[in-house]
Amino acid sequence: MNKKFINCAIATVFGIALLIALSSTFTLIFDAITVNDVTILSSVGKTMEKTISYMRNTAVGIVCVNAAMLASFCFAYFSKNKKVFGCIAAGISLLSAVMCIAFIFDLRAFVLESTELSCYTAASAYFEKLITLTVVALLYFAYFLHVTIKDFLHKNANNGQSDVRETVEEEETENEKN
Amino acid sequence: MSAKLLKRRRPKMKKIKKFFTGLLSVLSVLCCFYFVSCNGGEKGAVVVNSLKYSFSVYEYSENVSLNYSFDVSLPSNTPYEVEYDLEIYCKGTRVHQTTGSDSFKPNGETTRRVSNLLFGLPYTANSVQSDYTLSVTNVTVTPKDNDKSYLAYGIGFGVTGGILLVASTVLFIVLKKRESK
Repeated sequence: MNKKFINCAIATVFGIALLIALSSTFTLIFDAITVNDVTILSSVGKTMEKTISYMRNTAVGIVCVNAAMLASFCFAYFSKNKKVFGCIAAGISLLSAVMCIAFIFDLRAFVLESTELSCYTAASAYFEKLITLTVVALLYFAYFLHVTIKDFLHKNANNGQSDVRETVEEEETENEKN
Repeated sequence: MSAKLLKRRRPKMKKIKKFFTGLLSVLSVLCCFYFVSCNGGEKGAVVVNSLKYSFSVYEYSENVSLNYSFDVSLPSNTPYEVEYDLEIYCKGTRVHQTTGSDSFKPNGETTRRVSNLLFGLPYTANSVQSDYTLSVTNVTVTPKDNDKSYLAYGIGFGVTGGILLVASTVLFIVLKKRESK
């Protein structure tokens, strides 16, 4: 297959993924700000209050980690030192994905214990956003891991070649001297 | 290094600096939003001299009941929680101490009445209604909008994200400077 076409397709996929990550992060910001409105509109039980508190606090945590993740993507893209920043971007992406998955299962266990349908409904809307972010974070984790490994192998190969060149040059100079 | 190359790099660095200044500003604004909403806005207060109470002494069953009410001011139209300490005195001696709480959602009112009826209070022999007095202290009127049980999640992961962001930004700037040298 044409290499240019593959590169273009990968760039498009990751561009869309970046837009999705940005929109999901902004949605989570507004979720964290507005989720308390439910308690103003109607009186809610203790379980619902706890669910809201969980969603709000975890959303703030995820937004902060996602800000670092998006920034690390930019650094990895702009920097010449792909190995270091690729590693950082992959690490933060993995952290974000693990956080999202952990929050989904933790909240699910909590709302199932509460046996309140309204809590589960509110939580399932939150799950959707976290799943989207998980997919994007895992996608970027795979990409930056690939970039880092590729850069690492490329540099090793270059080092190997330069070593060979150096030894050849040394041999040649020794021969000339002799 | 040629002057042309330096000229090319400077606008790029400026753009990156602007981007991260913007990003950090947005993050700090978000943190402000979060911590302001954690405090839950303005607190209410008890209305001075609004306490009204009446004791009923039932000698035959050796029982005392209390009916009391007081007003609290509500600065905003959000749900509020009122917590207070009650002390009951009989002939100047404290005979009972308890805490009370109430929560409500104001419907446009700026003041709200907190009232309650207590039964089974300790009876003192040969006492009459006028021997009993009530003291309400430590009244706190706080917006009831937060369950803070998961606050540690927000703060912990928020701080982690912030540290990661700052550390990677510093590393990027340092490496960029080294590259340009």
